[in-house]
Amino acid sequence: MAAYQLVLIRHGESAWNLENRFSGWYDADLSPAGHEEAKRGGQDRRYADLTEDQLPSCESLKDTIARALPFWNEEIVPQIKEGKRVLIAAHGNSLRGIVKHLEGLSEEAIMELNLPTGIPIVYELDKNLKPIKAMQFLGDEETVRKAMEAVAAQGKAKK
Amino acid sequence: MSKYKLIMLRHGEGAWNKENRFCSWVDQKLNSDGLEEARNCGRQLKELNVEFDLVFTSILNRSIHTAWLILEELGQEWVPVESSWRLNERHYGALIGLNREKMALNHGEEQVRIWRRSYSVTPPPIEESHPYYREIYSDRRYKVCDVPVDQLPRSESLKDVLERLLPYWNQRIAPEVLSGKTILISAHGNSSRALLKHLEGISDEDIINITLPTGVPILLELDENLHAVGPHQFLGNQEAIQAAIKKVEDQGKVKPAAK
Repeated sequence: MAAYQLVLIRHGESAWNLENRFSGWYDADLSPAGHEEAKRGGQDRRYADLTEDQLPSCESLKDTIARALPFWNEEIVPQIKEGKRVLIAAHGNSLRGIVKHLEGLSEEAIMELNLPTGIPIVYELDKNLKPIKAMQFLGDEETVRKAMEAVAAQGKAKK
Repeated sequence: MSKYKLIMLRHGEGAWNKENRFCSWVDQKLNSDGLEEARNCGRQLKELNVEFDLVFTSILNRSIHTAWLILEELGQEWVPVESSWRLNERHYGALIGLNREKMALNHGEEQVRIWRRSYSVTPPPIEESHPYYREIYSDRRYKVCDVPVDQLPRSESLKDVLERLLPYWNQRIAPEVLSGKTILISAHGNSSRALLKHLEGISDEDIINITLPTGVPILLELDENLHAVGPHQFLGNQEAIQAAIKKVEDQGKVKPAAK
């Protein structure tokens, strides 16, 4: 019997997802959008709290996980333990960080994992916040399967 | 000399505004005009290069959607939003859902004006038999307030609104203003008026004459004690603002018979 339930969702297709480009921190809109934000990246007010060396110019997946996990531990975990029903609406790689941590996946294993976009991912957790079963996607089987295949195909060159 | 600025606004039109019915704690959605009013607000604020640090709303969806649309226009969706029942619209008790025009016909324009605009006259409380009672009080959002659901209001005067709003202002909002943050309060006609009364020191008698237009950003400049340095200012085209004020005032009036 799960003590807690957690839902993750990866945001839907952005203009850059369409072009198969790494978005990173570029704030691609969900519809075609302006390019100025890429230039303003580091000066954007929303990052004003970060120091010079905290603000990355590039990250490996390891780096992403290293800065996502403190937030998970300090901000999200206490809320879950209070019995709050939490939704995390985030991104492909920041969510992979949480998944790797929750499931204790190896570096090799996380590289194989592709989260589909726009489909809720449900975790049922015990009181130590360990998943009691595999992640579940909410949606019909066909949609889920297709989505996972499509995301996996992104890394492969088009013929 | 103003040390702090605060922006508040009254959300735009919902279906019941057009029908001239007291909406209050019923969770009506904005209609298409109301959505546009919110976007317009956002555009006004964008032109003025306003940068918000924190947004406060009530727990009624029309105030939240208004805030979302404004933040979207500003490209500031990332700004945190906090919601509380203490910013909810005034609870109109048994008058919820009733048509203002019909009320004016049955009770006279003056009684309606008093119910709408007096400071301490509380309408009759909402009863369990009221068509909207269950919809309101069985909603999950009222089970997680800082007050148990059976102690939440069943009717309010404007004075009652200020009494439940003030602790939230003092404990949550004022400290943020004092820390130098630029705050947006996306609220309702009466919760905005109550807050303005407090900050501007408007008398119980004068508050009856204050009408806030919908969808217009209201700027208040405050001194180091968070008292208003001058009267509130409406941001935007002045003619359109006056027309919006008149529109709200006319809602209480009985229409002349059609020719």
